[in-house]
Amino acid sequence: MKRNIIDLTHWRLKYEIIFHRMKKNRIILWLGLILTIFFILGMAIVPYGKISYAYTPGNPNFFIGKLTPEERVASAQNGEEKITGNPVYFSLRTPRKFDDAKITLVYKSDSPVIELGVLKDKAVWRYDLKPVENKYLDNLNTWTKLEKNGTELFEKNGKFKSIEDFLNNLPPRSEIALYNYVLPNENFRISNYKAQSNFSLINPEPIRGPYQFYTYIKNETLDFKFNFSDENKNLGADPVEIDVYKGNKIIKLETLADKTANDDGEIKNFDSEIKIPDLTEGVYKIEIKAGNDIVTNKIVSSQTKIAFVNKIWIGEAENVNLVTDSEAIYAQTSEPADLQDIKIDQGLINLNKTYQQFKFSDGNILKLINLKRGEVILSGDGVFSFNQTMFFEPDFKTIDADTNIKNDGINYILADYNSPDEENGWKISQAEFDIKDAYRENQKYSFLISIPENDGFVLKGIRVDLSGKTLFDYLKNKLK
Amino acid sequence: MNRKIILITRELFYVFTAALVIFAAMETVWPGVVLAYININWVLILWLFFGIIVLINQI
Repeated sequence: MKRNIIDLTHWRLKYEIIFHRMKKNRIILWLGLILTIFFILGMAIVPYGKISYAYTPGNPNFFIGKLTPEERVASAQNGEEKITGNPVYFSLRTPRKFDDAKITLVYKSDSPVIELGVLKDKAVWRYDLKPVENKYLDNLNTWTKLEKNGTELFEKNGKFKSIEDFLNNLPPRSEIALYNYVLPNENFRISNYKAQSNFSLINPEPIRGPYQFYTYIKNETLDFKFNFSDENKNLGADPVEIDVYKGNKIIKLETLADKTANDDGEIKNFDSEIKIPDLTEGVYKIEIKAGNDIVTNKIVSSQTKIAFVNKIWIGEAENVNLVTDSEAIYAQTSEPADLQDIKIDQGLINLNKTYQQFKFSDGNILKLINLKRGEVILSGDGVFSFNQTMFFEPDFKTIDADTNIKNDGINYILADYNSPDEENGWKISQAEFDIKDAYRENQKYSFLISIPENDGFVLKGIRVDLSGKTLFDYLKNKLK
Repeated sequence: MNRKIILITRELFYVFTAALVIFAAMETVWPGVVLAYININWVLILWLFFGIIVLINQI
């Protein structure tokens, strides 16, 4: 009996000690879970509005995706990744939206122009490109350089004393080139321009997919009548959006919905008209946002100056003539039946492979293009018109991989550019983006690295510093 | 098995059960929020491991 009492006391004591310790352990375990949840929520909400993510080649990352397409990237070795093609893409997954992104690239490359871009508009695959490195500007040692607030003015002859002086007394447009700098074309005027009242066909040949064109208005109504076809070759709806811009501002937007999201190949025709009276004199841009199932059969207008910006995809057609001021012209087709020799002035592009871009450059400023057949995508850094009467170029020249600064009569370059830093043989360059209106799908932003003349780009790392609204800002806006 | 280990195992099982339910709910409401930092597969494996031990000790 006595032994039993001693045993019971012993066990009670033991349980009391275990229970006491368990209480401590229980608190630690549950506190651990609560802290983990708070940590996860904190990293997702980013209450202070600032967070950084980093990518090292070979180490998969939840936030910064690996570089694609795979065939343009060699497998990572020793934390380095060689990019063999152009361009390459990577995605940035963020738990919430941010306003600004500062991307830092650590790399080695001898390519003359490297740029980084964020996808702004998926309908037309428009990327907002920022400079990473531009050897053409870095090598302008004999030119005078003026600098203010990150803006640089390179002068061949050192005529201006300040950037303000230059902006207030702009030299002839043909002598100016821009790089990552926007100089509005609002003051562009065509002397002796006379408006016409009769309507005429703008595009003798159909145009496939999205495109943008400039037009000039003076004492006339902006009036465009479009006839579109939806070829329904690809599955999914094919809405069409028509935006009219004055400078960077949209002054009219029209959306044509597609109620039949099928791919039965049944061609459906539809019309639209954009009419805006009482516009001030100047250049206007019209952007057609549409998928590749949409073909613009006809554009009829009373406007006489029409210049397609940077790219035009000619639909099914024969014997197409175009004029361009692009320094270099790129041609591509996806149809084996449309492989051909494209005449450009006295030269030609031998378009002998599908899905491959072919380049032509001869140093001439204005070039005449003749296509035997359509279904060819033509692109360049200038504008394209269907004839010389329609042709006009309201934009300033821009510096890219195809620019020949010495031969193009350029005497002034206005740029928003910083040369990369160097550390232990690696170049470090930063690009800042406004990502408030960047395209974001499945919580991902899309970026590209453009290396037009890639002779071996080695990537060591990517760092992304994001900043946006704080939790306080968010709550303040909600309570307003 | 040592009583203390049994009690701790049971407590861990409870914590991992709660973690799984909370993480699954968070992922449903805000996709990627947990997976960005924690591999839920490992949480599930640990939950199963502690659950099996708890069951064995009850038999």
